[in-house]
Amino acid sequence: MRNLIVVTLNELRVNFTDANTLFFLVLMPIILTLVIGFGLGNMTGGATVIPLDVVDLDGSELSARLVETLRTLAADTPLRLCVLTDTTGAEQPEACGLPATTELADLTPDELASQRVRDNDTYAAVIIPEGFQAKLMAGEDAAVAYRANASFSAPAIIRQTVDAAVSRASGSVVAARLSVNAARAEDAIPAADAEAFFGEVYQAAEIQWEAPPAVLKAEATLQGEEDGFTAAGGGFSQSAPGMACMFVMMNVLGISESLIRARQEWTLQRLMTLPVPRAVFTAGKLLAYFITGFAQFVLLVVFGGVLGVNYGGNFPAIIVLAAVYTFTVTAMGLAFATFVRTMGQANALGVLLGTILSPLGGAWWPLNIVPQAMNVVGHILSPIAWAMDAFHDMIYYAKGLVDILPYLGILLVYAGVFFVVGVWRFRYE
Amino acid sequence: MAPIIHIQDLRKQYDPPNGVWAVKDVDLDIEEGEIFSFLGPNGAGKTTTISMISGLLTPSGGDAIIDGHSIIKEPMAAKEVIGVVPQEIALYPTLTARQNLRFFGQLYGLTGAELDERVDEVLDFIDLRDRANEKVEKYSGGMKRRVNIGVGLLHRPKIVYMDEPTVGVDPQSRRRILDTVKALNREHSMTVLYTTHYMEEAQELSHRVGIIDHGEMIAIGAVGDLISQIGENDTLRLRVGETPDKLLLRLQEIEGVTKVSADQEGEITILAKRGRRALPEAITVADEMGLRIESVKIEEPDLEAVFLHLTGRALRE
Ligand SMILES: Nc1ncnc2c1ncn2[C@@H]1O[C@H](COP(=O)(O)OP(=O)(O)OP(=O)(O)O)[C@@H](O)[C@H]1O
Ligand SMILES: [Mg+2]
Repeated sequence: MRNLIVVTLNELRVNFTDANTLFFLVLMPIILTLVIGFGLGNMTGGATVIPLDVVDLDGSELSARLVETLRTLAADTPLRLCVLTDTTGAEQPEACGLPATTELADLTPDELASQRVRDNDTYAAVIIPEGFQAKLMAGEDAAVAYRANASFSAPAIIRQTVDAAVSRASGSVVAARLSVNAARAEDAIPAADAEAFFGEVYQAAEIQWEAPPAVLKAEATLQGEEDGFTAAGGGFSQSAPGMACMFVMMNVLGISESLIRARQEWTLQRLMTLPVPRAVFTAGKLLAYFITGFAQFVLLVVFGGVLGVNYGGNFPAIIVLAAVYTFTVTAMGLAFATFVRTMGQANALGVLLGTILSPLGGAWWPLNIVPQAMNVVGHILSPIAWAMDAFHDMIYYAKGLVDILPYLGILLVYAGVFFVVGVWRFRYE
Repeated sequence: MAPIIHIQDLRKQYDPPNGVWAVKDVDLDIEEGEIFSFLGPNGAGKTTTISMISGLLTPSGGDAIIDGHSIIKEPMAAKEVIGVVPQEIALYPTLTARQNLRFFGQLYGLTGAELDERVDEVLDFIDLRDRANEKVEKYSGGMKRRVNIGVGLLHRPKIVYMDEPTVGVDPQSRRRILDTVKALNREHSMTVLYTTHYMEEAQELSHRVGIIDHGEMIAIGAVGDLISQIGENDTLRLRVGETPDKLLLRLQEIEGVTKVSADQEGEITILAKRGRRALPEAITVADEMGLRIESVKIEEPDLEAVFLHLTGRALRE
C-alpha cells in the first residue's frame, strides 16, 4: 500500500514536471468550452427536445382545440407534447418517455402528470380541467393549470408557447361570444346606429379582454413558487460537460504513451528489478491518471457552473459521475495501451480515438440533433454518450444521483470489459 | 560455503517459438565477495542473463539461486539482496538526481532519516552532491551513469549487478567507475557481477571472468588461468590499409599461425605459436600482395587472444 502511494505520487510528479501538461489538461479544454459554448449559443437549449405534458380532463371540442393550438405552436420548437389523456392511440413522441399503458392503471392522468413533473420526467404539465367548455359557453371563466417544478429552471420557450396557445384560445372565445351577442342583437339595431354598434362591440371586446375567459394558472409543484424560465447556461450546458468528457478521455488515453516512455527510459525495467510486485507499478500509473482525470473532470464541470450551467444542484451526482466516467476511460486507456507499440502510434491513435469518440458520443453537439442511427451507434461505441446522457438529465431535468444510476451502470460495464481486455493482454516483457 | 549466486541451466528464448535463443543453458557459481565479469561481444547474451537473474525477464528454463532464494520461486526475497545497474540509463530525466534516488530508495523500503542519510551517502559516493538538485536530463553522459550506478547502491545490497557501466563515458569517468567498483568490493565486501566487452576492464577488475558468446558460457576462470589455456601463443597485430580475404588465407597458411581475424579498421590480429617467428613471413606475404604495412605489434597473450582462440573472432568486430 505504501509502495502504491509512493509510485502514484511519483507518477503524478513526473507528469506534472512537464510545463505543457497544465496547458493540455486545463487551459485548452477551458478555451474550447468557451469557443464551442459561444458558438452553440442558445441553439443548444433549442436543440434539446423538451417534453411537455398535456392532460385534457374535459375531453370537449374546445379543449381539443386548445391542445391542437398548442401542438401547432409547438411544431416549430423543440417542445414535444405528451398527451396523457390521449385515447386515439396516437403514438406519443419518444422523448416523452411515457410508461407502458398498463402501468398507468393506478394513476389518473392528472396524478401521473404531477408525478412526472415532480420526478423531472417532464418539464411542465398543462391541465385542462373538467367543465372547461361548459364554463366558457356559459360565459364563465375557466382556469387552465400550468405545473412546473420550481427546483430547476425550464427553458422559457415552454411558458411562451403555453401562454400563446392560451391567449389564442381566449381570443377565439371572445370573438365567439361577441358574435353570439351580435347575432342576438342583429335585427334590433338600425343601420343608422351601426357606428355606435361597432363602438359597443369594440368596447365589449375590450372589456372581455380585460378578463380573459381562459386563465392560465401557474402552479409550482415543489417549492410552491414559480421559477424563472431561463435557458440554463446556454451553449455551455453542452460545451462544458462535452469538453470535460473529451479532454479527460484524451488525457487518460496518455497511459499508453506513458507506459511506452517508461519502457524507453528503462524506468519500468528498473522498477521490475525492485522487491515490489509488478502490479504495483501498473496500478500506480493507472491511479495517477485516474486522479488527474477526476480532478480535471470536476474542474471543467465546475467551470461550466461558473459560466451559468445549472446542474440542478447535484454536486454528489457530479462527483460520482466524474469518478465512474474517469474510471471507465482509465480502463479504456489500459486496454488501448496493449494495442500500441510505439510512441508515435500511441500519440496518433490516441488523438484519433478521442476525436472519433467525442463527437460520436455527443461531446461536441447534443446527440438528439443527429440522425437516430448515429445516436444509436454513438451509444454503442462511445462511453461519452452515456456520461452526456447523465449530464443532460441533470441539467435539463434536475435529476439526481439515483436517476442517473442506469447510465453509471452502463459505464461500469464498459469499464469491466476494458479492464478484462487490458489485463488479459497486458505484458511486462 | 554455498555460492552467493548459483545459476543453473539458465536459458532464454525471445519471442518463442521461433525467436533467438539469447542465452543457452548457462551454469555458473559466483562466490561471496567476488568480482565476476561477463566478457562478450555485442549480442552475446550478457544483458539477457543479468535481466533474468534480476527478475526482469522470466527465464525460458533453468533457475538462479541468489543468496539462497530462487529467482523464480521467491523473486521478492531474491530481489531484496541485489542492486541493479542497468546498461541503459534508467532514470526519470525530468526529475532531479535527488528525486530519483529518493523514489527508488523508498521502494527499497527506506524511510525517514535513514532514507535522507542513504541518499546523501550515495550522492557523496558518486560525487554529485553539489548538483543533486538539477534535473537528470541536464547532466552529462558520465554524470547520468554515476546516478544510474548510485540508485543500485542505495540499500547497501550484498550483490550488485553492473551491466556495461562504462559504455559511452569519457576516460576520466570510466576510471572513476572502475575505482568505484573496486572500492565497493574492497570496503563493503560487495559481490559484483560486471559485464563488459572491454577485455581491459575485465582483466583489471575481476577475480574471475566468464567468456560468453552466442548465449553460451565458453570459458570460466581466473584471468591468468584463461590466458595460460592458449599456451605460448603470441598475438601479432598488423595494421594494413585493406584486408582482402586472400591475404587472410595466405596468413593462415604460415607455419605456427592458429587464428587470423580482421576488424573493419584494417587491423589484422594473428594468433601464432612463437609469434615472433611468424612475423617476417607475414610481412613478406603482405608485401607480395602490394599492401603497405602501417604498423606491427607483438603482444603478450591477453583475454582478447583467449576470445580469438576460442571463437576465431575478435571481441570487437
Ligand atoms: N527484447 C528482445 N527481443 C528479441 N531479441 C532480443 C531482445 N533483447 C535482446 N535480444 C537478442 O538477444 C541476443 C542477446 O542480447 P543481449 O542484449 O543479451 O546481448 P549483450 O551481450 O548484452 O549485448 P551488448 O553488449 O550489445 O549489450 C541478441 O541477439 C539480441 O539481438
Ligand atoms: Mg547488453
